[in-house]
Amino acid sequence: MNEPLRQIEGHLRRIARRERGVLAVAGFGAFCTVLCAGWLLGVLALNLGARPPAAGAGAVLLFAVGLGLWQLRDVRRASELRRQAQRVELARPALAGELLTVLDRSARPLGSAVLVERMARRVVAPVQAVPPREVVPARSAWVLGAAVLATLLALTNLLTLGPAAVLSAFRSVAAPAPVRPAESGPRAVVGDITLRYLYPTYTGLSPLEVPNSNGEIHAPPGTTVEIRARAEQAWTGVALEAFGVDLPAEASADRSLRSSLTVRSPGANEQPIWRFRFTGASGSMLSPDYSIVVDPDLPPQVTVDVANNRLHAALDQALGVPWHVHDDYGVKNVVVEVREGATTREVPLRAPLNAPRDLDDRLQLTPKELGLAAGSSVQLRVKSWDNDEVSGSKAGWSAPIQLVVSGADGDPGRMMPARRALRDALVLVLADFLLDPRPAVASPAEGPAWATGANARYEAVDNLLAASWADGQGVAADRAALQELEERRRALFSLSRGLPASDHLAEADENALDEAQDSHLAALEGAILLFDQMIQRSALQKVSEIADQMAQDAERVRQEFPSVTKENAAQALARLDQLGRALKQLSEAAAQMGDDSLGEFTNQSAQRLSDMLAEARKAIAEGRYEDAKALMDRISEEMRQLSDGLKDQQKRQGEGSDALGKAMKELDKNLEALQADQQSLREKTEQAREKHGSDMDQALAIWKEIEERAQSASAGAARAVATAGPLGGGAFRGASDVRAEADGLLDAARSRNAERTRSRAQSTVSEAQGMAGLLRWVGRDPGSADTVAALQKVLPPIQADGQRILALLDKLQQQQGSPELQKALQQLAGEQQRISERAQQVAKEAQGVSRDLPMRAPGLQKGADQAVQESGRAAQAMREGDPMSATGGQQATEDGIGEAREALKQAARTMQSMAQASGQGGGDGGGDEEKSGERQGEGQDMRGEMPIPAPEQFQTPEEYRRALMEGMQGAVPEQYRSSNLRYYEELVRQ
Amino acid sequence: MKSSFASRAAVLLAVCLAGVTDVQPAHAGDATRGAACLAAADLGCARSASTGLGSGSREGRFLADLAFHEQRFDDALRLLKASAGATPDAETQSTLDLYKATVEATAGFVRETRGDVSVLYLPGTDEVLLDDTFTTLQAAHDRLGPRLGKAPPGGVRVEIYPTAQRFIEASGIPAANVETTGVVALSKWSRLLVTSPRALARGYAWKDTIAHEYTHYIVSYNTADRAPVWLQEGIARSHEVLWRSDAFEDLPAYQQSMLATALARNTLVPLERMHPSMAFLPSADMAALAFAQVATMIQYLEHVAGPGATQRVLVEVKGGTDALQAVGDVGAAGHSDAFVEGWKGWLRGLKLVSRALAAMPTVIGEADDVATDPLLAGRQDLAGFVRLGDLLLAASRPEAALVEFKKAVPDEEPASPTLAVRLARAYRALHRDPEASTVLQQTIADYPEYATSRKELGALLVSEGKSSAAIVQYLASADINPFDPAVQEALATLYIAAGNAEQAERRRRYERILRLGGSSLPQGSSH
Repeated sequence: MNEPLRQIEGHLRRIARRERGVLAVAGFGAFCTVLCAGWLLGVLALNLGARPPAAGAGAVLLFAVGLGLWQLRDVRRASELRRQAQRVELARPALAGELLTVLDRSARPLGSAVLVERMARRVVAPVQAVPPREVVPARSAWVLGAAVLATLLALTNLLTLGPAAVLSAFRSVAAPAPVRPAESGPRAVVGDITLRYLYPTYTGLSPLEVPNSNGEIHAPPGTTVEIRARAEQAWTGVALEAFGVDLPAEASADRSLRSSLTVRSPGANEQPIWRFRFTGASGSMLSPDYSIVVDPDLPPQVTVDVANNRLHAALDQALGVPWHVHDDYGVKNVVVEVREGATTREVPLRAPLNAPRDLDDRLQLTPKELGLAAGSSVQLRVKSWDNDEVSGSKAGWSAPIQLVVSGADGDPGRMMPARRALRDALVLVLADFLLDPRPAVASPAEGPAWATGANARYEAVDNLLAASWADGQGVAADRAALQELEERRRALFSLSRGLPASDHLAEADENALDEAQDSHLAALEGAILLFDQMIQRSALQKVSEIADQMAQDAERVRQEFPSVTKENAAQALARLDQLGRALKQLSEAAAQMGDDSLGEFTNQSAQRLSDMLAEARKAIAEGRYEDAKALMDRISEEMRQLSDGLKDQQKRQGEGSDALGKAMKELDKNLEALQADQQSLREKTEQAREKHGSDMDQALAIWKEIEERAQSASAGAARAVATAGPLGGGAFRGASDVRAEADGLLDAARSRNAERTRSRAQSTVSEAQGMAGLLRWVGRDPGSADTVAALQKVLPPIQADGQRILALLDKLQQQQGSPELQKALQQLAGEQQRISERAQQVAKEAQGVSRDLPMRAPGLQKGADQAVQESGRAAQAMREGDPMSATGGQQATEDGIGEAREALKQAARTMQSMAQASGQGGGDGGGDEEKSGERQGEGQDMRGEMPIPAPEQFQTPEEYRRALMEGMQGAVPEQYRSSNLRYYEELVRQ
Repeated sequence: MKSSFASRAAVLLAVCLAGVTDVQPAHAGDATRGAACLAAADLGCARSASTGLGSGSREGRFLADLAFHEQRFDDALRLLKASAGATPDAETQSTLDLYKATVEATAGFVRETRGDVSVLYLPGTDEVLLDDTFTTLQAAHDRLGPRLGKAPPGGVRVEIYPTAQRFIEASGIPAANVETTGVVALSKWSRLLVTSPRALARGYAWKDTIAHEYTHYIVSYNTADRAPVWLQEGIARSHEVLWRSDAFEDLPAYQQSMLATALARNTLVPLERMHPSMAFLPSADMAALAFAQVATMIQYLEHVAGPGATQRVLVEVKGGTDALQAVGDVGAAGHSDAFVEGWKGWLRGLKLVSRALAAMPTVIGEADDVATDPLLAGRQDLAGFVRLGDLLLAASRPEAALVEFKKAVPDEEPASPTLAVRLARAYRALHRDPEASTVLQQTIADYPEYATSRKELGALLVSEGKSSAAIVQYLASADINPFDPAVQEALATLYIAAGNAEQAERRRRYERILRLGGSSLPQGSSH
């Protein structure tokens, strides 16, 4: 080969090498790009709960390899010198045809070799002048290479941080499949399983260690479960399989095993189990399968308390709808959703700082504040988001409330005729129920018939409710009373219909029926009294207004006629007729007043005035003008006295309301102070326990577990009640009994009352056992089989919780505090004793207020009594050096006071509502409510832009924080409570 | 002993305000001496002193005061203004204000005089009080004056105020005092100031009350106003019924109950604590107990020392002897301690009511039944059951009503007269009249001042054909609340049936007065 040709071919080979390199980089880049895309898709699928199958991962790999190979398809051709020669000719058109001819003739000699050589000499220089980078540009390849490098770095991180399952899926394709033991073969024995749950932070749950576990995992998604166990024999290798994916595990020489997994929702083809896979000299073997039960983090449950979910409110009337949100792990925020036609908007209500599990409040906004107009008809839903950080925040909604908005003044007297009709109908119903025997039936067989007959007594009431009260008419107090009555009525009839078949009524059923009759009667009486008070107040108001106007008119008539003469007689008669018409109105209004002495006085006065007017007319007709004038003067005086008398009564009522309001305020103040002092002392007690009672940590842990178990039992019992609903009768009642005991168990556990907790735990287990027995009987009915089966799954965990609690209580008995702790507690016992004595005093005040209240407030006395009892128990426990019972009693005291305060507030709201319905100012009404006119303005201010003090305005951050906390804790009128909390929640977030 | 605690409290104020003055026989034309006569409640003496007086400011002031005592209010105001000059001192200004207020409070009043009694009143329904006012005060004048010494000369002057507000203005008693202690009548300025029973929600035993006030006047006159509060109230309380009765009456059941308890627990109110006024005792219950103590002391005095004993005590007191010593002198041969011990022993021998009872609240102005009930006024929870029973009764469901009423019966608290009446109505609706009668008799024994129980029992007795007994009950009801036309009508009917045309006509007249707001057409004020 001549030299020029060799130089040309050498240059063309350099160009070819460059092209191969560029093609290799492009192919690898394409492979990596597809792989990364597959990885990301896998992660996304896992987050959505899917299970990425190995086949899917294989497909991704194949696609990536294919794409890479496709990118490399030109590598071979790149080695062809002729191809490179063509590309050079393309780059240098002057060489067109010559370079290829040189290459072709040198490869296949044809014609003159000298000519070929001469041609080669001529092109060698221009060919060598063409740089390879011009023929094969590499810029895009280098960019792709850098991208690939960055992707690889990112991929490296993902491999360590991302779901291991994805890697495993790829690994399972890339790596040779492990030798898997047969599923049906013998299993390796594993024991001493200890599970340690590390819950996601957002749940607020402390780590929980369950020793001697049966291996079953119960946890919400995102929970990491550390597994410790011991194998029966030594193995050379071990891995953990969870959800069908291999996870690393450690095996020690002492046969102990250690691994961990993260709980998630299983994919479509995944088994929610975990197990060890052992490898040894004799082969491999699986451990038994253990279930992974995922406790789903459900969306918040939102409930609103509105009868029939219908509401009728004036434009400026606060809706006053109580709402409650419950979430498994925490509530993030709450809004009210207003749907008007096709548009929906949200108005923020609360965004609590500490994501509580339960949040109660009251929708105090007015329709106006919700942006509605008179005549609007909209749908409201309270909506809440949970704080799930693993699966993402989920929303829950209340049942929709249909709101109809009336005019601005709310027309307080509008519902009075309906109230009167309803009161009168309810009185007749009450009469029948009062005369029912106790218990209502002698045998269970009579129950359904009695319930049917008794329900028929409500026919007239139901008709009235349907006609006038169906769309949430009336004020909040009306709705609350009717709802309470409806619930009691339903409970009574449901109970009587579902009495277990037997020849005679069991004692427990007799008591239950008796109690249900009492509760129903109390609700019936409460509703009647509420309506009656509104009617009477309204009537007094109306009569008083008419009488006042009449007194002024009569005085004007008296002055207008210094004397009655023949000339002005006709005019005087006309004025007397005018007074007569007003008197007729007064008489009609007075007929609605009670038939006691006040009603008698009013009616007698009206009658007297009527007689005097008639006598005056007669005197004028007979020409006895002086007598007529004298009578007109007397009518004026009589009218004034009637007006004054009615004003006296109104004033007295107002003073009574004010005095009661003051007493309620005072009581609330005392309760609040007592609650604060009790809280302070509880904190001192806890500090003493922390300081001197390090050996009490275990007791604390035991109590914590008891409480968790009790909570679990309570939740299970609630599920049982919900499940048993369709069965009705004995099964439903049985489930309700289980729930009552389980709820009591939770209360007792929270109050750290060992004695009561034990008693309740025993009762819970016993009730659950009884219920299980009942289900065996009920289950014979094929129609109930599914429900019974569902119940049979719910009950055993409740029994297990109860039994575990009993065992823990036994363990607790062995715990005893240090002498230093006992001494510290005894020193604090005096302070607790004083709180107990104050509780007794406050309970007396509560009794006084209860007696003065125009409506019943059972929670007030109950809560105060609880405070007395529990504060005494706490004092006794402190004297005995029992810190757990002491703090439990203290906490229960605080709870009791809280219940009393809530009942007091509810009573104040009812009084306000009654006053509103009666068209009165409402007196003091407990002092928590303002008149609607004032409320509107202030409410708007509270909902508008709120000036938030800047931290700079305070000397120190501590001072700023303290100011915030004090602001949050300050006493706030009920209707501003939400606004106040919202204000500080926003403030703290700043 | 049926007058209200309120009236006793009122009297105490009068006693406190009056100075103790040793009155010497008046000389004509002596204004200073005349003023002393007025202070000692001796109007006759003052009138003697008023003749031939000069025209100085002191004389003018005395004449003004005399006119005020004689119910000539316009004259009193004019004379006082004339004597006070352009810049009256504070005391005179205060008196001027009182006189002016009295003129306004008595605007439209007319005077009616029968025998020794002169009454100022507002024409209208209060006319139904006139007959009994004259009867009561004339009887008191005739019977109590001689019994306690002699009746004050110059007759009896009484004003009946139709409203509590007018009474407040005329009496000069702070409104708060009237409202909190329930003062409804007063003996002062040689006059009796009385609030019409119409001004109280359920009326009151107004006839005994005016007799009580007049007794104070007699005691003041016969002791030159030297009797201490406890003696004043003891005599007035025990003697207030003697205008219609020859003997003292038992204490009301609730006061017996208090007395029995205090005796058993040795928690009687010391006499010294009753000074300067029983109205200043720390609680209404303690004041009621104090009244019960002093009333029974006077009863015991006459029990051990015979009729005339009280008069002898008054003579000694007028002579300057300590009141308790005087009582000891007359009742225990000079040993006051022995008298007190003897009184306690006597009380223990009486069969005092021992069950728990409460005083009837005094409610001024119109009020419903609950506000005027001694139990229900403080128990809204029980009042609710009563209201439910009322509604059931109105719906013709008496058996169910009875269930509700029985729920309102308290376990360990005083009985309720309102509730008793409701129970009786339910029993009657169920044709269980004997049970209704038992309930009513019991509540009347416990709360004799509750007019509605009397009326209810009267109706029951009528239905049983016991007309005479029914008249007694209706009359008792009218004595407390004469403004109930139904009671007057029932009495008229019963009297007609009994052939007593005069009484029947009287009750018809009352009924007409109540129906038309007065019997005769107003003729204008007489003063």
